[in-house]
Amino acid sequence: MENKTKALLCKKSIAACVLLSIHGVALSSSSKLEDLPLDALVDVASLEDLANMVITDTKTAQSRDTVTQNIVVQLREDMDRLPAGNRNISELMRHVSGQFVNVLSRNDANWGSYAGLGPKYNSYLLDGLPVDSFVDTMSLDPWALERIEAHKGPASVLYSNFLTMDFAGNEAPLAGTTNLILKERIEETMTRVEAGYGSNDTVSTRAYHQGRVDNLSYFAGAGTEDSRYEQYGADKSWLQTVEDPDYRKSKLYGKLSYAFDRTDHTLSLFAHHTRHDGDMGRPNRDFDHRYDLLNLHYTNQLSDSLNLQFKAGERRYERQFDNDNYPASLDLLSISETRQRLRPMDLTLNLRHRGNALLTLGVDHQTVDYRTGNSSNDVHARENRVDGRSTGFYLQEKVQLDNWVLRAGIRRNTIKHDYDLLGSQAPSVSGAEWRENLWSIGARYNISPTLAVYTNAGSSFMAPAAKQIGGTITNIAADSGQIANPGLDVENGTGTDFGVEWQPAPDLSFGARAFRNRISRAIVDTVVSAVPSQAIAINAANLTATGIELDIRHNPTGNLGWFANLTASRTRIEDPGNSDQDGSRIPFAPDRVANLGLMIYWPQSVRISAYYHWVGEYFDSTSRSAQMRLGSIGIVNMRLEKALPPIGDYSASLFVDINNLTDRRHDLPFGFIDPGINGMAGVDFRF
Amino acid sequence: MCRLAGFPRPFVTAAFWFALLIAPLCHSADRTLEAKIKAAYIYNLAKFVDWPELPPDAVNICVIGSDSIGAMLNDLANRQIKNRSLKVHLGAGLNPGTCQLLYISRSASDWRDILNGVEGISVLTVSDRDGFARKGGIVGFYTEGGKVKLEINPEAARKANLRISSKLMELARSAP
Repeated sequence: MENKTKALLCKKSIAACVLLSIHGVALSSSSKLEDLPLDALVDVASLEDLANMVITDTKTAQSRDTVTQNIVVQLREDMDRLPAGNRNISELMRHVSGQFVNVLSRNDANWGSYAGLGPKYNSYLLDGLPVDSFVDTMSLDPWALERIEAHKGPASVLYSNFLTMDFAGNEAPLAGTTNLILKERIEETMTRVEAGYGSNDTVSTRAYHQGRVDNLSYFAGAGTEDSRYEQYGADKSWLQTVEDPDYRKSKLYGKLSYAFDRTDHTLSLFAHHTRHDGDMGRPNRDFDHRYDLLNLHYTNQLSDSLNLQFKAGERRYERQFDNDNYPASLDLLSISETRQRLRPMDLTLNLRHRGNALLTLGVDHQTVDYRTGNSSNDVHARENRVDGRSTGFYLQEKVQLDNWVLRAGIRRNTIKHDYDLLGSQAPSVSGAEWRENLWSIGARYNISPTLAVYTNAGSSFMAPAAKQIGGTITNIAADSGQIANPGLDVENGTGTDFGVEWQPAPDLSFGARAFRNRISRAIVDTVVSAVPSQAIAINAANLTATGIELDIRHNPTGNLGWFANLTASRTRIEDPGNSDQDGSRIPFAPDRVANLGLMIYWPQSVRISAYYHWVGEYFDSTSRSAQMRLGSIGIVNMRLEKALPPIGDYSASLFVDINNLTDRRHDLPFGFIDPGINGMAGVDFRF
Repeated sequence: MCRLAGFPRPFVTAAFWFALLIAPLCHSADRTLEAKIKAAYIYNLAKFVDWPELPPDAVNICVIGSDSIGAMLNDLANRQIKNRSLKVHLGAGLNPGTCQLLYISRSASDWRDILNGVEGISVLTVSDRDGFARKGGIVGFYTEGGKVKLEINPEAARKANLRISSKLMELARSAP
């Protein structure tokens, strides 16, 4: 019985049982697998897991030892094991070296950094199509995901920028890209229900069902969360709460995947809807957000050597905020609306030729329709209306020569903006267009089956977003938001890395990766004023981020696994024309990040997962005179889980998540505050 | 004790001693684990191969030879594959022609005769014999760097009228 309940617990945590090694499965995680019955193993380990494969480097499954880039995989069961205090998918990546995840609150986005660069230099993908790293990571339900691949280093040849005009603007895969991969082929019918109660009167429920009828695989899920969250915001700031902020989230999603005549000829459609409403802790700061997402994916293996994929999607983001005039008045002043619709699509061909060589070529296209408005005293005013489109043609070749893997690729990309309205006025410039040629190269040398070195380099570019050009405020003396800067220019980036992977024993692995990212004419959001809260985007000359990541993972026994990693980076802004920011550090990028994770099986089918997360010093602005020093904080998060003895096909486990165990309340950017110790307890049923 | 600049002393100290304590506990994978991985592979192989015709109610996996993989596969009997129940048949007396997947263990000395017996029939042959996929079999296991890997002979699969998923082909080495 003990072994069986442990196996059921293992199903919830493949990381514990199968994949603690960054090198994946097979015999590399032997000691964990020894205790896992085959019956449980085949449930938790897919073919890709068994074969230790990743797909993000070529858009088709590839064995790790043929991939030049460093790609870290988080599996669905990893996600179940990790406490995520803000219910944000990006938090599931916070222990990956090189990443700093900084989710500001349960209602706000991740303002973290990647390899020394700010949040807009790492893109997010959903099955290879771009999604918003700020919005979709706090919207999507991780139960829909099979795995997450964190691709480190430049990926701008195969993946386009995300054209979002919101938040910090476009997102480019220069420092890396994070690919959220949905479940596809369902083999087993399963229903899963979870309910929990936690700090701040948080009530959470989730339900999920998957199955297959003949060639049609399907899954569907729903979830709700209600809470009276913690108060935050600096005194007299636009963010300050005067009462506990309420929020409600509800999600509904589903996917259909039909296999035609064979398993590699499929058509799938995924839809996800999130409604997120509540108030920001003041009587007239209500909000109502609706996010909808569609992903269509057709794939067909046309011959033994030729594979075709077509992907298309739609992302709709609608946000509505009530505004007051705090601190002068709590009365309703206006209602602001933001509506954005993006439609990405991609057509890719993979051609295997001359043995193991793989040619990837394709075209992607993206459109964006961005509108903002403001209503006051029943008068509606349009503020911004912008259309944009991007088209890219790309080609990448990867060849394997004995122990060498060589990769090279190019992209021709065009981005065009049309400005109808900026800052409530017809702009003097009706549009802008940029044409850029990008490149990427990489090499890997497998010195032995357990030791490899690799290096990569690539270029990227980012066009200014309309919001950065046109701003979001009209009254600079009183309004909070983004100040207009029509003189913004495009920025160019290059990224390089060099790393080594070493697996001296089947259950022990080391990794080291050095990186250098440089951005010319970089666009940086800098805080101008705290009250009112105002930021402006500027071309801050050149940014350089260099650093090193060190990883170790080890699972010495079937009941113990641990990992540790350190990321040390040095960032610098060169702007001789501006002494206030020349020589300062890149905002939101800490100088050090360290993680220590430990997973222990105790008797009676109890599992403890504990994580220590240390963040070094970082700043919220490039301006020395206005910047705020943040970080230098260590947080302990943990999850306790107890699997109950199964009854027939029914299984259940109790869980307790404790975030910030040592109650280290600390400041976050933009006046947000970490709430200190908080937790959630619940039960997870499966049948 | 060295201290890394910028990191808190407790973190560095804990990480160092923990690594020191745990490192000697490394040990190699044993053969039971290897058999378990191979059995999991076999189960997955059945999902990613298309047969021209399947029995209406079962997918039959047959095991010839004496090793632990057959016994392990028995644990997976009656699972659903391709909307059919997985049936596992063990022993030398079975008729390979009735199998969809035939695992021939290393101990089966008459493996060539068995292969000849299923020639032209849609049977996915799998073995961990050295060079199996290069000697007429369809899928062979081999071990490299402590990892179980696959070698697939696409020509043999074609002759057996089997369609192997591109996903499976991507992870395997092609046998010449």
